Amino acid sequence: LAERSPLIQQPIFSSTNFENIFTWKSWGEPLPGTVYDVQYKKYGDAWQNKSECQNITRRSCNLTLETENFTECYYARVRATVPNCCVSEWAESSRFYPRENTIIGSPDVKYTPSVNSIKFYVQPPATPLRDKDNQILTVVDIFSQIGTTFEYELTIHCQKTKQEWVKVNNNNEFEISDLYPNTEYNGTIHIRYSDKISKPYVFRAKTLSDTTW
Amino acid sequence: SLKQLHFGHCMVSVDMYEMRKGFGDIKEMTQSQDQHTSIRLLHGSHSLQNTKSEDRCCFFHYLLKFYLVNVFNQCTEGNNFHQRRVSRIANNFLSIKKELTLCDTVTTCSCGKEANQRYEQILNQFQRMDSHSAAVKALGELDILLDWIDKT
Amino acid sequence: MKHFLVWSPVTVPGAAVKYSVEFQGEYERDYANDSWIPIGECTGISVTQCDITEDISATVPYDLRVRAGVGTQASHWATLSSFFNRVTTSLIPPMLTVTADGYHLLVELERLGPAFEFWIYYWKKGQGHKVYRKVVKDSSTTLHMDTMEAGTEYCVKAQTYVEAINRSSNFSQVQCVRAEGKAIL
Repeated sequence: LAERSPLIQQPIFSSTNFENIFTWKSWGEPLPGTVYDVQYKKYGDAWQNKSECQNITRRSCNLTLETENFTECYYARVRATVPNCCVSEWAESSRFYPRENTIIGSPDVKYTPSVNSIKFYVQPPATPLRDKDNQILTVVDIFSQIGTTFEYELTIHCQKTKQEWVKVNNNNEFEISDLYPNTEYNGTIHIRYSDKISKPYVFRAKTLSDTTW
Repeated sequence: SLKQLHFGHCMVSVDMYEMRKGFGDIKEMTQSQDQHTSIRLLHGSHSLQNTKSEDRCCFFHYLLKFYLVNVFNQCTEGNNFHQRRVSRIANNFLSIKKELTLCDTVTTCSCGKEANQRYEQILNQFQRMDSHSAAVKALGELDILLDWIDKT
Repeated sequence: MKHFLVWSPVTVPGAAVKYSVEFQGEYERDYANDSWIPIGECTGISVTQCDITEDISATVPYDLRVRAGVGTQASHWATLSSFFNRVTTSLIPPMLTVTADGYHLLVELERLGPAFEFWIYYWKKGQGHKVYRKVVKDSSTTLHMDTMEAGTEYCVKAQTYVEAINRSSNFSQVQCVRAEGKAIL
């Protein structure tokens, strides 16, 4: 099969909450029958075939398990084959660091308004990874394992005074007290870790009316 | 962002922010120039934090000198931005090495078998490559070294 | 930490004088054959100052030099009389805005960059013996310090600290604000 100019563009890892997907684009409309083969490796090792991603037609491959050691660095590459025609060059990703390159999704938050306060309970996003006891690990579990410091950052805006301020909390359960009754507060909650920040959870809450008078 | 490393009775402070920022600005370009991705100089199994504590000071000293003598001066071509970022990292390495040298008077940096063996493996692998490719690879592995320092 | 190189202008009647700046860290002297590195942003400039903060990024002695040029002609280099080390930098007190939002004590800080920490001290007016301290990293928003007792006045002051050179500034002016409501006596 004669080799032709690369049929593949932008071979990259896209990673959210340590779910690491290797994706690529086709240069123009793929020729009929085009299939792809994917290989991966830890930096410094030899290439290995990803068995579930051989002769595939889709343009993505889940390499989460193969790249689960989040303190290591990895490469992936893909090649296109057009039957009875040609094979492309390998298109290789840049060096991929799960720990640095993964995007942290928004946390899930439960909040309970009272007359003068709002109580927040923040649930960090889960990852596809599990611990020794097969329990699902959250992103915060992983940060803790690698010694990364993290905080829960609340930004709150008071509709009544139009003031907005930030409160940084170290644990995932906290209460904002001394608020005005029957008043709307909105804002965001992020998880901040080393010099990075998660996607925001956006909330809008109203304190209860004060019926004691 | 200042990491304190303790070697025996003495302490060395490492400005992690300056080095991570300096390296972060040139990381992608440097690593993309490394065509030999099946070769690795700084192996996880021979990391600084996995080195016996009594050998750590010496191994760290070796690594600093390795980068100062063999790596940074091979990476000064490229554009002005790249040059200035390599200078930022190199001068921070030198600042650490000067503190470590002071350390030597307080706590002898004993160079045991493990420190020598580990360093020799790195140097042998480095010398098996052509000097420019080896320097580019070593520079591209700085984040591995910075992780080692962070975990020590 | 902001570092600037400044110099006196050279005047050549009828000609546009341009200046170029280069720096050299201790690494360049000891390991890189005494080489000099141009500062791109300060090459061929007409002002007589250059922001060298990005390049003075280690706690080692640096040398700096500047020369003037007119067309293809260039002057000799003018070099510092003694090396510059960033530990000699002077830190000025931070600018601070203290406000109250109902019972909430809020502080707004100026953005000085990631090398800075802010040490913020606050106390109930008249109870200077009981001072609380919060350490805040680089921040560009209004920060919640604490919840105040109704009708009570609280005072705040702050200083900056740069870990890399282990130095801190003097304190800012003290600012006091009063929480909403009536004080409970």
